[in-house]
Amino acid sequence: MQTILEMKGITKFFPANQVHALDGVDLQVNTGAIHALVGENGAGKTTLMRILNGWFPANSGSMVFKGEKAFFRSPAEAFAHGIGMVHQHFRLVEDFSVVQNVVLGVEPRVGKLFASRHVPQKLQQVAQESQITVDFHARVKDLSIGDRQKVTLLRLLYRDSDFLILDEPTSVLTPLEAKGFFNILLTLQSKGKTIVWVSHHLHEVKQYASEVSVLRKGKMVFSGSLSSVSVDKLSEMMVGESVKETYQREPPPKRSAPVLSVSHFSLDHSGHYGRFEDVSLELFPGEIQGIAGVSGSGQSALAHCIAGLLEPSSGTLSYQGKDIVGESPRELREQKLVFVPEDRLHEGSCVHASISENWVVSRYYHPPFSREGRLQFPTIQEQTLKWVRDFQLDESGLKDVLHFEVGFLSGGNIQKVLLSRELSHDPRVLVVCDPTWGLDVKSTRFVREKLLELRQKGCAILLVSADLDELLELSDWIGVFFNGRLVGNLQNYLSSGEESPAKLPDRFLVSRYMTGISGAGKEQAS
Amino acid sequence: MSRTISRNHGATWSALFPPLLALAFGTVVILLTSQMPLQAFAAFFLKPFSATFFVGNWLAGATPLIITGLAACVAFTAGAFNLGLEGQVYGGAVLAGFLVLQMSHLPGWLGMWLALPAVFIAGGALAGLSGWMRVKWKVDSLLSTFLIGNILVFVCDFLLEGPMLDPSSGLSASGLIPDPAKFWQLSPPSLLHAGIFLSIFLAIVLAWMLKGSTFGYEIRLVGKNVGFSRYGGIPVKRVYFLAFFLSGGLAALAGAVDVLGAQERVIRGFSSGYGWNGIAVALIARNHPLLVIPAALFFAYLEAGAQTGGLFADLSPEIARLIQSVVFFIVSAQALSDYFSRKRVSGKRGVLHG
Repeated sequence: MQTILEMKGITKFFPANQVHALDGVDLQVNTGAIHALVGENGAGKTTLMRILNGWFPANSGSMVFKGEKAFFRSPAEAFAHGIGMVHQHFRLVEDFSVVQNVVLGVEPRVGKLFASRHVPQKLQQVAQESQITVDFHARVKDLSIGDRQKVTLLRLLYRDSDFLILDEPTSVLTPLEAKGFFNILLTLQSKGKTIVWVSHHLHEVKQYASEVSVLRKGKMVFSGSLSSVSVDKLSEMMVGESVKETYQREPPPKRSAPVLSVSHFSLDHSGHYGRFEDVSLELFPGEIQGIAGVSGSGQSALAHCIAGLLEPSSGTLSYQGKDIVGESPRELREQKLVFVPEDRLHEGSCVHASISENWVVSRYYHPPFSREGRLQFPTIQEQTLKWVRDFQLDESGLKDVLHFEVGFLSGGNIQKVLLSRELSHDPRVLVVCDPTWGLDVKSTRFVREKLLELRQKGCAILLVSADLDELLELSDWIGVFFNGRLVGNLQNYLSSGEESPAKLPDRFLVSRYMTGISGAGKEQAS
Repeated sequence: MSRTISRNHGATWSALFPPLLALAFGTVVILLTSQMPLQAFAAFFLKPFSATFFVGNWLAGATPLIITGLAACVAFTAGAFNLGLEGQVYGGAVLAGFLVLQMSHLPGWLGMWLALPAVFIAGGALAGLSGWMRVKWKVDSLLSTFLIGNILVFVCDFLLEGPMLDPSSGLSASGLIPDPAKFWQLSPPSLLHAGIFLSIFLAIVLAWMLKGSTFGYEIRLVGKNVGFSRYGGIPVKRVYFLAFFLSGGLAALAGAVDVLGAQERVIRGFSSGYGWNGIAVALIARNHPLLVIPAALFFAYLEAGAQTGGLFADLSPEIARLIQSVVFFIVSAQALSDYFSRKRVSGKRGVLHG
């Protein structure tokens, strides 16, 4: 096989936070390969890809791409050489149609005018070859996450990219969407495209990739063919120590009165978080109620309504026997109803504010954090430090919590700041959305164990998650949203006397509900 | 790792860039328009420092700019635009003039100390209205402050031409401000007055408030990320209202201070530029209340230079406006692009719900 890319001795040092992101890394990619790049958060995967892509320069090292010995000086230059990158957050124009997004920058023209509805021959051909099916005239804002990803891919293929970098492409997809995505990936490979695929999902990597490189803390610890290495071995190399996969969970305690009950709850208008209708649900102390669903099915809107951030159109919401519709997030948190949103960069934290400014947002207005309107910085600093330490924030983030901006922390550490703040309120009900999205193995385990610890203490948890394994591992019940409705609620523990684990739901059963194949309230068990 | 870690480590350079570029531009204009470039140069750049009279006038010109700069600063920090500063300054001046003239039978100092808080509250209420309409009906405050401010300019013009006109002045102006009601004159015959101490005091108070008080914390976080603030439990609506109130109150106060310090009467259109220049001053100062002082001094220096340049050389006074416009153009282009890119992000998340 022919080598298309060879990087040697790549080193990258970030003076701002004194971190060696990459330390003498070698990477070799063969033409036509699906090359998986795996590693924990902060291992340096994204940094390496950005150097390859010309985003920023390396401090030292060399690169040969398609026989030319040079680094790219900008993403545009890399793009001109056929390197296309699909980011975790797609950069598409929401109000434009699919075609308009694809041809943006190289628009076909009729005379001097932009032929905005014209679907170029080449686009149809590219779509057919790569077996990507998507409505060309739909507006991007109306598309599912999976379809948006397809648009991004089409855009790159249309502009003759033959070396694709995919950053965590499946972390945002449902299992069925992911399956479709892998078909596309294999088709592209068969057409001779080279793909570098950044991922956490080792099972997917094992199944679809042809070669793999493992980064750990800025060093390349393995690089080679996938056939020679097992998933367990990969995971071990990635984290440097073996991480056990399962969680201890006893059946939930005998039910008493529900601590939170939602009945005939609806949100009519569809905003950023989606809509839902006629949802009824009860949360009990010491139970984790999971919520699955394709993203945008209304589960996030439900969570925001419970948390007092959206106003429901109809229905009742009672917490400890009291109607709480209309109460502010601050009032709810003071009553120990606590919410952790999925968007930790925009809603759950303020990336331009310091760690302590983030941490104290739920407390700044009362003593000892402020007195007569004056902020008490020593107390704030001390309490922030105490809590984030408790949540095992890396030492690198602890230097100066009063001034260190949260935006400079890794995703896992940002989540730890957020969780340490919210869980410090000793919740009686915790509504939490995608708590481990994008986190590395160790942080994920830490967060999940925290949730189970809370459950053990008698907290009622509503766990909205796109990660089915997470729901299956942690939840006592798994409710499934489809198209704004709660279409099923599956028991996910063995009642005493029941033996057969075959009765428990699995990924595929939940998936069927998520896509509307099963359910409609008939299977509602309670 | 130290406290310098933040997104704007290039801040010092990019803050100095607009004024420096504008001065370079001014130099070119002087070279192109003057018959005696060397004298013009000296007259523009050096003469303002040559006598206490000029220095006094320079500082007097900076006084209202510091306060309007602070007014803009408060609104910007909360992530809001108050484009009504111009009208608020004018309105504050007219109200202050009206009050001290009405209370001329009281001891003068009493008239002044009653007028200042009244002007502050009136200006605050007016800008607060825009804040209130924003949280109540989602009226864009950028538009509402601008429109209300413009209406106010016409109302004030009307008042000075009509009910408050003193025909004996020969101008479109009010009666003479009684001497006892004026700020202590520090260096007559220059215009320098004790209002400068008030403006510096306000800058220090505001700097402390933004950094060390709970209200300052609320304003800063709301300005940085509304979605997070709402989720975190900050009363976002109240913060918006109060930020606008404070901003409008300060702007009106700037007008009052100038009228009671550096003017003899309230003259029609006297404030032209204080409001807009306040915005530029806040932008140059990167919304830091203490940096507003040097930024305002810079802007007033341009005015002072234009005056001396006109007196001692053949420069036209418009040169100050020209340089100021260039500064304003650059800093507002920088700030607007920041503002709109941030708005795009948070706008998607239902900014003002709840």
